[in-house]
Amino acid sequence: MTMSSNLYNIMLVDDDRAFNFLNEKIIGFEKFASNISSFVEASKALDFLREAALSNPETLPDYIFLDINMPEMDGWEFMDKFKALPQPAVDKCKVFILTSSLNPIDIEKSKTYREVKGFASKPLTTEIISFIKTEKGNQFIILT
Amino acid sequence: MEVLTREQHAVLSSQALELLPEHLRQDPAMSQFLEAVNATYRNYENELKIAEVKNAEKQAVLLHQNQLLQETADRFKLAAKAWKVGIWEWNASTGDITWDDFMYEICGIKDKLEYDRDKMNWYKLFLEDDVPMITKAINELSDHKNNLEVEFRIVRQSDKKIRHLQIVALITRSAEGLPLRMVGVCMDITTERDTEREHTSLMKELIDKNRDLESFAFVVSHKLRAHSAKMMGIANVMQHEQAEAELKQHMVEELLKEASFFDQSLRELTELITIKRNTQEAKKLVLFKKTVQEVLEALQEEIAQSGASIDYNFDAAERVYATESAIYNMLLSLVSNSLKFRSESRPLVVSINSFTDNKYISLQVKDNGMGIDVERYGDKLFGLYRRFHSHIDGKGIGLHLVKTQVEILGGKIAVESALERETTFTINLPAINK
Repeated sequence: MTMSSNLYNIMLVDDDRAFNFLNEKIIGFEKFASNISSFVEASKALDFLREAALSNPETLPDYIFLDINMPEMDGWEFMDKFKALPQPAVDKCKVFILTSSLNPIDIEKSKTYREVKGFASKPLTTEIISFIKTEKGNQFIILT
Repeated sequence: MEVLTREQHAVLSSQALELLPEHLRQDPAMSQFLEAVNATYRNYENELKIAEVKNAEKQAVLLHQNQLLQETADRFKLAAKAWKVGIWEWNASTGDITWDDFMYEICGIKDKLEYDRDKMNWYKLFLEDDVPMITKAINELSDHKNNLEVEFRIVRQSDKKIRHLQIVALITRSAEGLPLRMVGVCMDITTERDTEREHTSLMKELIDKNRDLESFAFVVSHKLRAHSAKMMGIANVMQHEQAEAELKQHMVEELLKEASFFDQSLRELTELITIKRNTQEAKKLVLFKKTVQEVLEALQEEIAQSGASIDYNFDAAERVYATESAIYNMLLSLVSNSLKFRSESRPLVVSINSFTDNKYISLQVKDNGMGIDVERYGDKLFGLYRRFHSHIDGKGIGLHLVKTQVEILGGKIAVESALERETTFTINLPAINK
């Protein structure tokens, strides 16, 4: 794929393949990404990020859409480990929580991570993407 | 001064008059003098009479007060009897302790004489754990504190039962501030404490149940949200102007699939709620052997596919008083989990057995499968819709249901595991003799 200034590297982390498929489609339609990498296992996504940060920082995603409820490693555990990744990864990747949860506790918890830039409720929509595209500030975005 | 009676006075004065010579008796001056003496005496007599009346009044008041006191005492005795209040007194100088009859009754002492022989016998009634607390309360008394209020437990002598007693006492001190005596009441508050404890545990149970319900509501809404979110996502892709016909067709299929998953989830949920609401099914003596055989028959295909060998032994405890469907479901869930999470590197061996310590009947399912990181997941293992493997399909309902059913039967479930070695689930059910 060609690199372009307004196309981003996107990472999807969700144990539900169907959601990853739908999100890939919407992101593709909206011309939001130059590259999408989907992971059904959070630990594999972390491995990818660690590897990229050390050997190939330009392949690091600009945005990570992260599910919370996942078997084995859940979204929170992912975040705890993400914080400890090599600096290029922590600096570059903006994490958005993308979950079907509407639990206010989850929203509050996601705010406690400096690396998490927003909380969005599934499904990923054209509206959410265009909001993220235009959002330049550092304010925590809640899209539910 | 002695007081003469009216009669004595009359006799004496007439005698005195006779002692006087005749002319003096006739002398008007003497008559006047005698008259004056008599008058003085009459006055005195009157005063005396008034005083007598007053005295009678005083007596009446005293009598009345006595009566009131007696009534109060009677009422107090009645109250003491009704409330089982014992009264005791401690003499600081002699160290003697005096008890009323209720004290002996409260402490369950039948032979008072024998008990009174040793002054320190009361100390032996206390429950050992409470002795430091009582000693502390008594020691604090020496610091100018005049009231003692302490609660402790004793072993009632008549039936060796533990009773909760409460003591309230007042201390009387000398002008120098030294304790002279202490008078106190003593009440058996075991019933109150038992009720209190019952209420507290009931309250805790209710709070726990409420918390469970709240989290259940969140977990369920999240589960349902996942379905509706996916259907919305599918619809979004489907109606996007850029979606090609082929994708649209695929999305229709996905939508139908998701709708049927949604439906399935709702059905499972209804079933789960029915089970949680405590089934109407009657308990009976369930034979482990028979139930296991039914489970193994139901899982015949999976067992054959996995090449597992399954053995069972229920010699130590053959049966349990429970609902048959619950035991069946527990065994079905645990055995199918063993089959599902078997290790790729060795043939699966599942052992099912039972044992008892007379308080509990335990059912154990042990396998040599993949194992579970019990330390990492803890209680989440039994959480609703919780899954722990990315590669193995599951709904996250099985273990939650097992735990729910175990708890409805008043039992507990525990899990022990070593990763890549073995997993043992132990279900302890109350042993009810029927």
